[in-house]
Amino acid sequence: MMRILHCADLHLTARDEREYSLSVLDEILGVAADRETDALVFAGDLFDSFADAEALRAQFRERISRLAAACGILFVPGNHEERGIRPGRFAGLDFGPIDLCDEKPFQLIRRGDVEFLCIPHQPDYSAFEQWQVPEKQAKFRIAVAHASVPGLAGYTGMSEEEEVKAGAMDRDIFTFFKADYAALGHIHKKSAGTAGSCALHYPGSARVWRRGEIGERGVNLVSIDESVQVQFLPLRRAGQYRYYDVPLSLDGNVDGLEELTGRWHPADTIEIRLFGLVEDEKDVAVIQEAFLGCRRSGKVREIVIDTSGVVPVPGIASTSIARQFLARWNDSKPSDDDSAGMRRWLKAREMGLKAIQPYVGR
Amino acid sequence: MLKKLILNQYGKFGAGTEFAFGPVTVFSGENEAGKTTLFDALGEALCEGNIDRSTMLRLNSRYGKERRAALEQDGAALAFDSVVYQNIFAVRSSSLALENPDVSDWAERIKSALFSEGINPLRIRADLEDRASTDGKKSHNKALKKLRGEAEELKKRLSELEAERAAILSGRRQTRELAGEIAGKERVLATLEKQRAEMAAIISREELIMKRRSLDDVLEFLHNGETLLAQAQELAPYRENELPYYDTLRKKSDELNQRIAQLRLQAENCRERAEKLAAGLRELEAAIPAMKMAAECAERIKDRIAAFQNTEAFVQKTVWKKELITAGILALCAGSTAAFFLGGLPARAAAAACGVAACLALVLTAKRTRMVRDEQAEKRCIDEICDNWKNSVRDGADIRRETLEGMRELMMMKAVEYGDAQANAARMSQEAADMRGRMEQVRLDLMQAESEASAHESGMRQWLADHGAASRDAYQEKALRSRQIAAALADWNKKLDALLKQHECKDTAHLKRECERALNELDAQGIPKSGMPATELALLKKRHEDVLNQSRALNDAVTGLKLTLKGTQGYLEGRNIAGQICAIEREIAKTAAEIEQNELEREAAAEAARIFGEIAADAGRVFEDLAREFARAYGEILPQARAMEIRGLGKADMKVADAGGEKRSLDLLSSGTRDSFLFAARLCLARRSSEGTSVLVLDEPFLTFDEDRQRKAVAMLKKFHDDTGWQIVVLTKDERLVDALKSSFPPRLLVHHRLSYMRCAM
Repeated sequence: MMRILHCADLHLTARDEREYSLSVLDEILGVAADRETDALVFAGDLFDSFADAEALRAQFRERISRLAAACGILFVPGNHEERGIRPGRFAGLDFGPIDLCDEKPFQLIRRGDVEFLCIPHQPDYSAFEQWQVPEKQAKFRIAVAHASVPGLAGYTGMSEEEEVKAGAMDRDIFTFFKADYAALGHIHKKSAGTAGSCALHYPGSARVWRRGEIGERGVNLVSIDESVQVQFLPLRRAGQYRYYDVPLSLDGNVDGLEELTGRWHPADTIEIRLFGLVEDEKDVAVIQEAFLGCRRSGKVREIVIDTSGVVPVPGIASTSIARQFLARWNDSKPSDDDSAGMRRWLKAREMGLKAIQPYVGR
Repeated sequence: MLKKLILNQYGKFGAGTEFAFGPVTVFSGENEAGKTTLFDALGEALCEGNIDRSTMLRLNSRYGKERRAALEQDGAALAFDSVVYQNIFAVRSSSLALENPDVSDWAERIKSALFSEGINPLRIRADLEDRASTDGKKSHNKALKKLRGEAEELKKRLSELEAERAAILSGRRQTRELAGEIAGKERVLATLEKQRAEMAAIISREELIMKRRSLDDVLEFLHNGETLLAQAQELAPYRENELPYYDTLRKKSDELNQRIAQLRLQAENCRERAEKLAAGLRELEAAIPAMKMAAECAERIKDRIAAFQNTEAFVQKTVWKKELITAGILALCAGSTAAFFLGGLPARAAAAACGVAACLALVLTAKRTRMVRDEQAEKRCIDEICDNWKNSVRDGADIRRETLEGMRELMMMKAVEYGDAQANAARMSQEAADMRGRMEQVRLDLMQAESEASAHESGMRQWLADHGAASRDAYQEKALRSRQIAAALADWNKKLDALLKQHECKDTAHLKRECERALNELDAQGIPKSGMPATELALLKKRHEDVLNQSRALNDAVTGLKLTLKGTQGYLEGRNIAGQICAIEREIAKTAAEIEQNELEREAAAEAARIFGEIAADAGRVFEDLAREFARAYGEILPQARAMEIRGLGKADMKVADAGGEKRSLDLLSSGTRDSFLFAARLCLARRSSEGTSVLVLDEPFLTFDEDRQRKAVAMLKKFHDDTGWQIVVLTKDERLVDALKSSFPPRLLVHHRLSYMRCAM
């Protein structure tokens, strides 16, 4: 049986998140060692940019050197590695004993019963039939690619222009090349699909690279025996991106603050959107400070507070209609299981108060 | 707090007219002093940017568009909605009711200014319901529909792209098939080309062999030419036109020989004839004596017979011929019978004539005269003659005849025979003599002919000898041969010319050299002298041609297919459909998220609206409060408390008890009572409308009030000011009211502007 660890979009960076990104790399290498994988595949965007690849290659070499003895490492560049790339420089970089598969349009690498059809990022794949890829020789073929695949590309609502820039690949390509598993990168949201008998998998970004990347970060453990089995392994050190819409009471308090922060992990990235009408602007600063304290104390890796939804309205706390509204609103709280109802309920609070706002203080 | 009102080109007030304000400001003056203008200007300044359309139209028409009214204020600036302002903050005695019929939603606006802290839950509910609604005309009403429209458009575009993708996939399949087809055809083409090349090599070699053969042929042809030339030269003397001379000789010779043969035959015939004649003559001459004797004897016998016949030995008798008689009778009978049966006179007459004629003929012909001899005497005479013959002539011939007549004829014959024999002998003798002469002539002719023939023979021999031929046939053969050779040579020359032209050689020697050189080259290439049979080569060439044609057709087909393929590939390569689909999918997801957010906000707005609806449902209590407040305030003006009923803020919604205690609608109250109610109500409304300090503008508020009510109203105003701290602005022509105000409010609080016609005119 052959085990392959499929990792994508780690975005190692030499800038602000250097330690964080390298710590996730360490965890990935640790998982590969623990699980005794035969191959570790980086399906693009291993580095955040070409400059990062240049800056971090020494650290990368050092880190992978031990694992590389037991496990083949394949690195197929994505669109990010090409950012700021200088002509002819990629192959000149030494990433250590790995297979750098940056030859376009493809590179075919054989490892035992498995051959890897490595397709580095390209703006257009539509001429794939002219690539003259050799017929499948090994028992299994794994396509490693960094591209959007229609039907699998999710929408995060963030930086969409970034996604548009990347090349898109029709799923027909995988059936055409008779792949059994497509180790995909580029889409940061975990997703899976099929193309004929080929399983298509995006494990999602291996770490939180930007806001909006909700959910567990991790890698896919692909076990190849008689068939292909895929298991998602979450990465603890990658943490999670968590987003909360938090209503402020009229006097600027947050209900259940302890309960909220209690769920967080030190590697998490938290984004909180505070909203509501408050009596005094100073109250907002106080609660904001309370949240930011969580980062300083190491309770979370990063926390972002959005207070644009908070409107200080002097006198609101004593406005009877606001009080009446909140009292009645509180009574209409749905059950915790009803997440849609909960969202609607929270939004109703925001909208009700917003509706009062123009009339207060006139 | 209002500090200063600055007017520019506002009605009567020219540029830079300023009016200062105190906590209580009184503007007094006679009619047309500018109080109403000031009231309007202050209202416009307070409601700047928030003036309802009808008011704005009125102000424009009344004061022109050049007018300007600005306020200087202290602290939080006051700003009003014109409708709210006019109904709550600005009190005019001429207003018959609270409502403003020019503004449709005045009641809503007033309510929102009145309830709770001046916030109307129904208004908020309406706002939220509008926010939740998709029916309105505002952009947020249309947003969801627009988003859904966009989503539909995107889905349509996606399905078009999917269709295009399917077409491309199918196009790819076709392209693959096309490529496969091309590869297959190219394989066949390669095989064909290989076959064709092999054939071409063989054909080329065979053609070299053929060339070699043709060169050999040319050389042989040249050699043949030489032979022909030699033969022609050799046979040149042998000409067929020489032969007629020889043939003339020959003909003459033949004729002579023929004549010689004839002459020889004649000579032979003559000799034979002469011999026959001699023999006949001898025989005749030998017979003649006997014949002479027989003739002489016959003469005597004839005489004896004549003598005998002259005797009476013969009797003449007439006899009937019986046969003829019988025949005559039978004919008669037959004729008679016929005549009888045929009838008729002429016939019977004819029959009778016939009968008579027959009888006559019978008689005439049936009678014959016959000599009847004496046979015995005749016999004895005959015997005597025969004996005489025997004795006289010893030829032994039997001369006996039956009758003497016969004997006489025989005897006459013997005389004739003898005469004939004599004549014959003479003739024969003559003939023999002629024959001898003739024989001599023939001999002479023969000799001459033989001499001539001999001369011709020798002439012919001499000709043959002269022409070097053993015989005429030999000569003729050679002459024929010569002619044939000459013809062949002419033919050869013609061919030679063609060959020279073909090989571009000037003469045979040149041609020969060229051929030999070419042959040497072919030898050097090892081209054998013989190859496959021509038919086989022709077949091979035919096959080569076929293969070539096939190959060309296939090549054309492949070229066509490649063009198609190129077109298809070009189309496929130019279409990054996956990228477009991804982009559209993102757009769809984005729109879906926006729709979801929009729906969430609408649902949330509806939920919030519901809550505000609940709050508003408690409006009755608010109105009760308001009514109580009105009553209390009203009571302060009136001599006694009045009952009242308030269901709403419309004129018809309010009823007030008159002095008699009967509840009446506002229209039915006395103007003083109504105005005092409205003043009290406005103070209440004003008091409820805002928690902060504001301004109350009163334009002739107490015009219809009696002195007592005016006093009470001023006191009420004073209390309102003390309670709320609101600024109060009063405009009036009533100096009593000015005095009353001056006595009620301390001078430090009151600013009095006396307006005059003169001032305004400045």
